[in-house]
Formats: sequence, structure tokens, C-alpha cells
Amino acid sequence: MTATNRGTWRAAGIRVGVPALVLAVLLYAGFRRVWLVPPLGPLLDPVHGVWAVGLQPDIPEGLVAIPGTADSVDVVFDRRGVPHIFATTVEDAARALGYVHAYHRLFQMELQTRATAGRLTEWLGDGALRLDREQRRLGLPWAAERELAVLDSASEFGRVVLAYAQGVNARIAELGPRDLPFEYRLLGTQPARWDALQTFLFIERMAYTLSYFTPEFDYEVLAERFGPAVADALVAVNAPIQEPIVPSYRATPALDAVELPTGATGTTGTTGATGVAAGQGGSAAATADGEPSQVVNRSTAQPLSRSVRTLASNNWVVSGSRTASGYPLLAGDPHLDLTLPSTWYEAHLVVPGQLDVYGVTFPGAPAVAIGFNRDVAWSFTNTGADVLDFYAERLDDSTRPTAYLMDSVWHPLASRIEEYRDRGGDLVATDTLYFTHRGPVVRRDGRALSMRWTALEGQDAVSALWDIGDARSVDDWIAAMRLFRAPIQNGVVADRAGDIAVLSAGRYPLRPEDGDGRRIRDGTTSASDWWADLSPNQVPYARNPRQGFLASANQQPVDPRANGTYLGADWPSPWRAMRINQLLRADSAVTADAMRRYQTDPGSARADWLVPAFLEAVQREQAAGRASGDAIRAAELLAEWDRRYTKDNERAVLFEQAVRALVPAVWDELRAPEGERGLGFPSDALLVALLATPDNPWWDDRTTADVVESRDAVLAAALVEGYRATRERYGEAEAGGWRWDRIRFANIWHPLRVPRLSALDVPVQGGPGTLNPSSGSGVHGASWRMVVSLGPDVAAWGVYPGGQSGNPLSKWYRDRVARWSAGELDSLPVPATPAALADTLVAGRVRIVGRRP
Amino acid sequence: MIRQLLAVTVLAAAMALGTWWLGWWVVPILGAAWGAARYAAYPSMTAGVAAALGWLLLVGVAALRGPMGEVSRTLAGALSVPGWVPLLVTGLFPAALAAAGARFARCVLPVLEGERTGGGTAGAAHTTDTEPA
Repeated sequence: MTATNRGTWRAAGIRVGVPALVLAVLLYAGFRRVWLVPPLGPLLDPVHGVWAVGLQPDIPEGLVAIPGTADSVDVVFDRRGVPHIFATTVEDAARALGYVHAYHRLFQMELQTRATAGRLTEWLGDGALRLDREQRRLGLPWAAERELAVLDSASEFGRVVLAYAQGVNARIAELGPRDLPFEYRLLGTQPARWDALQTFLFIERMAYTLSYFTPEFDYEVLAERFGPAVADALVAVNAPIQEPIVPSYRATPALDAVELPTGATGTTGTTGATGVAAGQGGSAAATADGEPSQVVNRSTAQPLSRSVRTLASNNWVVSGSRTASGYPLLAGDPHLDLTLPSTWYEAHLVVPGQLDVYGVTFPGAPAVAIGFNRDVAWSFTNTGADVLDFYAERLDDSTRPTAYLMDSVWHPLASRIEEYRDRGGDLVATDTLYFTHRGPVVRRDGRALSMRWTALEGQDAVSALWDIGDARSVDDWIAAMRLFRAPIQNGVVADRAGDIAVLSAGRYPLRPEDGDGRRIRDGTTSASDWWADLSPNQVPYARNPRQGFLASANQQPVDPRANGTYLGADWPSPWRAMRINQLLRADSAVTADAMRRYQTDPGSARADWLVPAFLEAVQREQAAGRASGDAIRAAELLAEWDRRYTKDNERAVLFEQAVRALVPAVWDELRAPEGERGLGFPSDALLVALLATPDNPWWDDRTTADVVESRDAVLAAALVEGYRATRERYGEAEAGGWRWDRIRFANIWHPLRVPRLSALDVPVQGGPGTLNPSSGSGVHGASWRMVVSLGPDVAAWGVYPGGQSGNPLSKWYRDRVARWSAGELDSLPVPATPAALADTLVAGRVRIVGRRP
Repeated sequence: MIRQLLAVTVLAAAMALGTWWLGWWVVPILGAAWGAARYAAYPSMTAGVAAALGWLLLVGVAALRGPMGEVSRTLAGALSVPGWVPLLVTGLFPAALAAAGARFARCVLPVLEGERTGGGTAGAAHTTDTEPA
């Protein structure tokens, strides 16, 4: 080849190569994900790509075929997007529910079960490895697999779970490129087939959310730094303010004496007024709230530490003797992380003669969790009982153990290989998990700890929820809930006959010796093991009390003076319970609308106890000539507050800033030394108890060696600091910047944390410790509000912050947020037949058959 | 000129119909075919314009039935870009694909023809995007 020819070929190569390279790059971007950008071809395709999401119908069209359906099922979608499912068998009803769940919430269903299974790396790559490892090391997928393995597929519940999976898979099978939900397009992935296992994974996830509390580690650190007496006091078995779920024999709220040793100085102080009932607004004073915004260090603690106090829910039930109608009324508002799409999905299931239940379901599980039928209504709050223990194990080898020592005998460890894979199916990491007879072994601070947790030992949660759906009376409902094991829930229930009850249902393990579950136990002896469960007749329960109502708000269920059995520790402050009871005691003719208003009541028992403490402290400091001008001005402003967190309130912010300054000032001793793990602050109720003892050494700031701070000085200084911080951040008091609705919001995030898919800065009425609590970050709140009136005809109202559809382009994606924010409820139609729903309320009708004709 | 416009319109319609029936990957194939056909004066440019028109036409038709502006803003929000970017990219991406396909075909065809005839690369050396068909 001549030089000329070589040059010509080179030129030709460049001429062909450059366009070829450009084309290859474009095709690569079209077919493959590039960093965070999904494949552009299927994403941007104007017919089959993301644009098609805007054309997806809100409800299925025409005839739907679900293999296995025995008889045709009519599904009527009402104007709110709620499916009313009319089937002739419970399996068909479950099949239809699975289908509509998947139709509206498929991505949410897969995301949450994939997260629990520890398989997010298959979507997100090794960036999700830490999350996946945590879930698998806790044994959640292991437990779900064991639950599925023992599922009796011949039982009604077994048939229901399997039918539900058929319904979900029918929807997945019919998904064409145009039907793919928005988030799958963003991730550049496809839905996986639904397996019955995923229902159990979902339940494990709820159990994790509602019962994975590990006070052991805070207790251990406190005991090391301050001694066991301090740990006992700060991670207290009994709440210092008693307003129990099971009505107490004494006047409540009762401020009990609390031993508050300081540890560091060896001084012990006793706080509180023993056995004295403290009234609202009493001068006993109070403190900071244990709402999420205040639990500042727990979120930064190691993953095994979470606080029960970050959860909240309310429910109450009023007997006909105290309602205007003469029939029982029930209200419930479970508080969870606020998400879009919502945790909940409303549905109405009708199987003539067997089932006629309405309420909220979890997408992923075939049951109405909170709701009502024509005879019974119910709602739950989380109990927060201690159902998890750690045991310090001795292993034969620290890196590759094969056995653990117990009762001087080496017992073989069970093991399980966990493989984490990326999007392409390549192995990202491998773990070997070990199990003692108690449960999975976790490593912490160089120790091997085995974990026993009721959530890993069979929950029977969904089956119990399925069973309560057709309860005809409180007795039926209680009998079904006796089988419920985890996560323990405070269920209030009412029936049409007029009975009301509350049951803190679930499995309570009994520990040996003192029964205390706050300490890490010795794993080398079987004497440390749980020896039984609390017998059903000892589980917290009350029925038709003389007071005519029952309420729960996550507070300690039983007054320890009535029953001292250890149920848990570090209970949330009972502010919400106190407020509910206060409202219900004052209203002897409760209406459904009053119940609705109570759910967003802006009054605060916490403020009723704390505001006087601030004001009186400043008064005393002023009388002693020690109050600054700012302290006096701040007290004047605080005194103007009506202690209500209404949206237009302009003083609540000052109080909150003062409390924010007060809490770390009081508990300054708990600040972690450099390099050590931080601790959360004790509950507000404990701070209230401390306020009763002005000279308790906890008031002293240990960093000021030559000064001993008194209670009043600390309170006054906190108020001044709060005033300063409020002005700095929100301007002067009269400038309009202190309005509560400009400061606290609900933030309802999409799981992918995309603001456009979320509802952010939603104004809310309520503050820390109110019935509609507003956490600092706003990510937590009432995930569903419901009021039910039981009479000759059931009437119900409800709302959740979101909408039925998971499609961000749907009119039902966030249509309820505004009404939720305003504290309004929608009327819930409960048609007995498909034709009974007025045409004006119908958005569409669908028929489900086994096979298309 | 009118003939050229007509041709581009027909190509845009083909892009739209091909995408409708088969999928997005039809675009580079039609672009390559357009380039290989040596019909247009500026095959890359015309193929790109036709592809963009075809896709935006489809989006426009979809907008008659659904909230495409909202789709654009939602996607943009998810990708942290301004709201109009998805629409722009929905025009640019097929344009680039079709233009690259046309250009590639236009360049490689003479080489292949030269191989077949044993005539070296003369054809390729003289093929440009501005050459009239």
C-alpha cells in the first residue's frame, strides 16, 4: 500500500469513525443508564416513555382478567379513588385488592419490600449496601421466609395471601411499556414478580418501624458514665407522669416521685410529688418535650439505637352514654412517617355473608388494618413495649465462629450466607450471618450480641387483622386480636351494641429475675432466656369503664401501682393522652364533629405544665433582682400565649425556642465526651419531675466550676436564650414573622426524596406534644384520621395526607393533602351493593373475571 | 425546496409512526436509511429536524389528552433540571440520533461501495454532508 493510499484510508477511517463513535455514544445513552440518568431512549420515547405517564388512566378500564378468579368481581371506584370490591369469595376479594394495590401503588409496594429484603443494591448499586446489610443483619428477610414456610396454604388466611399475590401479579403481567409507573422509569428498571413472601417482608418492615427499640445501649452508656442508678432513672421503667391507657384507680394525671441521682457527684435528689395528682396548668412546672425535634442525638447514634419516643398515635372511643347520639363514637389517627404516596390505601371489601369491611390497608398486605364494618370499629396506636433483648455471647472464634457457649456447652451456630448483587446481577458483597437459638448475632463495639425479638418469631399480624374484619362484636374482635403477636398495638374498639374496650394486644416476653429488659444479658447461660409470655388475662385491657371513654396515645399502658409487671421503658410523655382525656372529660355529649376537631386540637398539656414554670422562674428571679430586661420582656410575651398551637399563633415559637434552650442546659451532663457516642435527652415528663426540685444537682451546669446554677436561673436563662434565638431567626415579636404557620410545617416526602414528587411546607395546626404533633422536621404526623359513629347505620369520616394513586400525575396523588392540613375529614360512603353507590359518587366501574371471554 | 420540505415532512411522519409502532430505536435506523438514500441535500440536518418534529408531534398529540407540561416539570424536578429541559431533550435526543445515523450511513456507504468495486475510498473521501443528492 502506498503512502497516498494509507493517507486516504486514514482519512476515511476518521470520516467513518467519528460519526460511528457519536452514534455509538448516543445509542449507549439510549439503551443504558449513565450515572444517575436513566436510559434516554425508553425514558424520552413520546409514546412508550415517561410522557405516557401523563396518559395513564386513574382506574383500570373495562374488563380485567385475573387468573384464578372464581366468580366475577365488581369494583366500583368512588370519587375519592377508593375501590369498593364486591366479590363472592374472600379469595376473590383478596385477588381484587392485590390488583388495585398494584394498579395504584406498585412501586411503593416493591420499594418497601425490597428495602426490607435488603435488595436495594439491585436497583441502586452499592450505594445502598449499608441499608441492605442492616436489614439482613437484623434477620428481617430470614424471619419473613420462616413465616412463609409455615404458612398453611389451605387455611383461609393462606388462601388469601396467595390470592392477593395473584392479583398483584395480574397487574404486573398486563403492564405494557406505556403503563410503567413513573419511578421505574426514573430508575430504569422493571417491576419484579410479586411473591407471597413480600407480604411477610412488609409486615416485618412494620414490625421494625414499630417495635425495634433498643434502650439497652443508652442504658449501658449511662450506667458506664454515671452508674446504674442514673441509668435506671433516665431510662425509666415507669413514666413520672401517669395517665395510663387502662383507667387508673387514682386521680390522673399523677406526678410520681422519681429518684434522680446525679452519679457524677454522688448526690441523689428525689423529684415530684408522690401520689399527688397534678392538675393542668399546675405550678408543679414542666419541661421539654420528647418529640422528634428534641431527641437530637438519637438519630446520630449508632443504627441500633432508636427511641420509642419518636413515634406517636392517638385513638379513643366514647361510650354511647357520653355521646350526643347515644351511640358509640371512635376516633383514630396513627402517626407514622409522612410519605407520598401514603402509607395507607383505603378500600372497602364486601363478600356477602362473610365480610363487609372498610378502612385503610397497607399496599402489600391483604387486610384492613384500621377501619370498621357495620357492627364494629377499631383503631390502633403503638404500644412501644419492650419485645427485644440482647445477649452477650461467647463465640469459639471471633472471625469465623462455629459455636457459642451456653451452660458450659458449646452449641453450634446456624449460619446463612447473604449475597448482595448490583443491577447487572454481579456480586457486590457477601455476608455470613450467624444465629444462636435466640436469634441473629450482631456485632457491636467489638462484642457479639445475639438478639431475641418477637418480630422475628412469627407475628400473625395480617391474619389477625384479616380476622377482625368480620368481627360482629367487641368480644369477636378481642378474640381475634388475642392471636396478634407483634408489633404490640393498643387497639380501641366499639360495637353497635354499645360496648367499648381497649386491648394492648401482642406478645409480651417475660424475663427471668427482675424481669427488666433494659440490660444486655449474659448469653452464656440459659437462665437469661425469656421463660414465658405474659398470659392473655394479664395483657393491658379495659372494657366499658365507668368514665365512659378510653384513650391511648402511646403512653405507659398500666399504672405501675396497679400492676408492676415490666412491659417496657422510656415511655413517651403522656401529653397527648392528658389532652384527650381532658377534652373527653369536659364533654358529656360528644359528637362526631367534636371528635374530628379533637384530632387537630391545638391545646398542649405540655405547655400547660411548662409555661408557668418559665413565668414563675422569671418572677422569682425578678423579685431577687436577678432578672434581666430581656427576661422580663420574654416573660411578658410568653404570658400572652394562650398555649394553643394554632396556625396564626405568634407566641408558640418563643416557647419552643425556650424549651429548645432549656433541654440541653439541664441535661448538659449527657453531652458525649469527644469521640464517644451521643445520648438522647430524657423524656419531658422527667424534666417536669425535675422542675419540682429546684436544688437538684442536675440543674447545675457542670462546666461552670465556681457557680452552682439553680432551677430558676436555668429557666430564666433558657427563656432569654429562646427570646434571642426567636428574634434572630424570625424578627421582632410584632413584625409578623412569629406566626406558627410560617415556622412549622408538615413535609411529606416521596421515598426517592424528590421535592417535586413530595408535598413540602404544608402548614399544620399543632406542636410538640399536641394531639396533632408537629415534629421539627415535619416528616412525622397523622398518617390517617378516622372518626366512626356506630348506630343503626354506620357513618364514618376519614382522610390521609396524600391520595389513592401513586402516580404523581394523577388527580388522586395528593388531592387530600389540603383537607388533611385543614383538619377536615371526608365522608366515607359504604355501599352495601355495587348499585348502592350513587352515580354522582362513582368515578368508574371495573369487572374482574378469571379469563377474558 | 417544496420537494425537500415534503420529504422532511414524510420522514418526520415516518419517525413518529415508527416510534409509535416499534419504539425509540427506530429513529437512528430511519436516520441511517435517510442518509444512505442520498435523497436530501443535507441528510444529517434534515434527518435530525424530522426526528425532532416527529417526536414533538407525538408529545403534542399526547398533550391533547393529558398534562404533558406537568409530566415535563415532574421529570425535570426528579432530575433537578429546569422544567422545560425534558421537552427540549425530547426534541434534541432523537434529532441527534437521527442525524448521527444519517451521517454514519452517508460516510460508511461509499466505503462499502468502494470495497465492493475495488475502488478504494475515493467515494468516502468526497462524501460530505453538504453534497446534494
